[in-house]
Amino acid sequence: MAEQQKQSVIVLDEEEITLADLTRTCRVRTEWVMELVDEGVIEPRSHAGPQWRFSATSIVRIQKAQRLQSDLGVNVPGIALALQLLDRIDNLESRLRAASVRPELHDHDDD
Amino acid sequence: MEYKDYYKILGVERTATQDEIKRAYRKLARTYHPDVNKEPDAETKFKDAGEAYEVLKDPEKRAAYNELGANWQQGQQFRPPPNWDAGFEFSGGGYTDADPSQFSDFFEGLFGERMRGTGRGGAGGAGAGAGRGGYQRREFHMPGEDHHAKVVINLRDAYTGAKREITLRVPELDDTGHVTVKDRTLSITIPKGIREGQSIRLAGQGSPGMGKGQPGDLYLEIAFAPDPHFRVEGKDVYLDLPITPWEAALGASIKVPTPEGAVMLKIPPGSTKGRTMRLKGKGIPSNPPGDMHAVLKIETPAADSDKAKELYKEMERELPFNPRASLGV
Repeated sequence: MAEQQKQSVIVLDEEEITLADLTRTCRVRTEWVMELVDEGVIEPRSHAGPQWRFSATSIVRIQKAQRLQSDLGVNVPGIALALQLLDRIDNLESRLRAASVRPELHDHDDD
Repeated sequence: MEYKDYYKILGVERTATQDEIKRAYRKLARTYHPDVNKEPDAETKFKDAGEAYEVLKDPEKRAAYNELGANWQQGQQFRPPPNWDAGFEFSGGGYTDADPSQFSDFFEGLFGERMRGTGRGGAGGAGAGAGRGGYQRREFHMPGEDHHAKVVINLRDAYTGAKREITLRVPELDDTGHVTVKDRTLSITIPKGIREGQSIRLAGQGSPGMGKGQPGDLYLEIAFAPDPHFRVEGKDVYLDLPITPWEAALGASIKVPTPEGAVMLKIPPGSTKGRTMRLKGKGIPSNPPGDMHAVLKIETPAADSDKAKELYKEMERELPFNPRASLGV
């Protein structure tokens, strides 16, 4: 049976969330989030003030980190490395796709 | 149910040592982990490897599995023989990290009953903790599991928003306290302005919690189906726009497709190949919206008639033009 979906579709992007939101949503310990911040896996948007605020996309990143840790036994520095390399692959793949759409164009002068 | 050849899945001999099994599993897990490998069948392979390792890493389960014999083929129809596992003692200790609701019918048929008796009531093991007696009398609360799914939409959908039906497999408790996996279909509105790679979260739409546990959330990751004409970068959209040499030279007002319909675009006189015309605000809707960029591509007409040939000859005579001047020849 299909349920009509009216409420709370949140696009995880422009939203800003607090450290407490982040730990509650992902069900992780604050210390673990701090470790991820220390390794640069996620970055708070503003360091200013006592209250860290994160982009809501950090939720997705933390969940990925959790899966890498529990499924592959990767530690936090390893997670940082893996995610950095995965980002790079994503970037290269999207450039590859772009190049295959218009192979002759590499630079263009904007108006 | 179909027989699963766990040794074949891990790519090891039946005589493999526990260390070899672990190494083979680790390698497969790294290769096919869905966060690492975007191939469509990666998740299935990852789960298969996990299930195989779940059995083979545990000497008791491995011994019981071996007892079925070596003559079965992967995928062959299979019924466990009665009392096939007589004489084996399952400690249940190996399940702590596993999510049995993800495993195959084959696994369930062999080890499922036992898991209900001994498994913990952990997050993944919604199936595990729930089955046998006593569960409902105990006060037991557990948050529901989060669900993750990928949704492929067309570029056009990002301009207009889209509706999608998502089917989730959710473990549920029936009246007798047994766990059944039910399909739950949700109709979801994907908001306009969504971009490739963004995730959306539907709070409370994951698996229901147990007892007073909160339900889990549903996360959808958005991917765009490849478009034959448009290319997307963030919220900007690119199009290779073919024009004629005279449109480029003399300027023209031409019709240009955008993902939300055609618009008129003015080509300035003296335009050259690769020049990018920006259609402000015609990218993916947002605040501010993205832009569309039309990259000019000059197409020459074929000299396939006497008239066309004559015109080319006339240009040759009348227009001094050396496109290779910058090459020094």
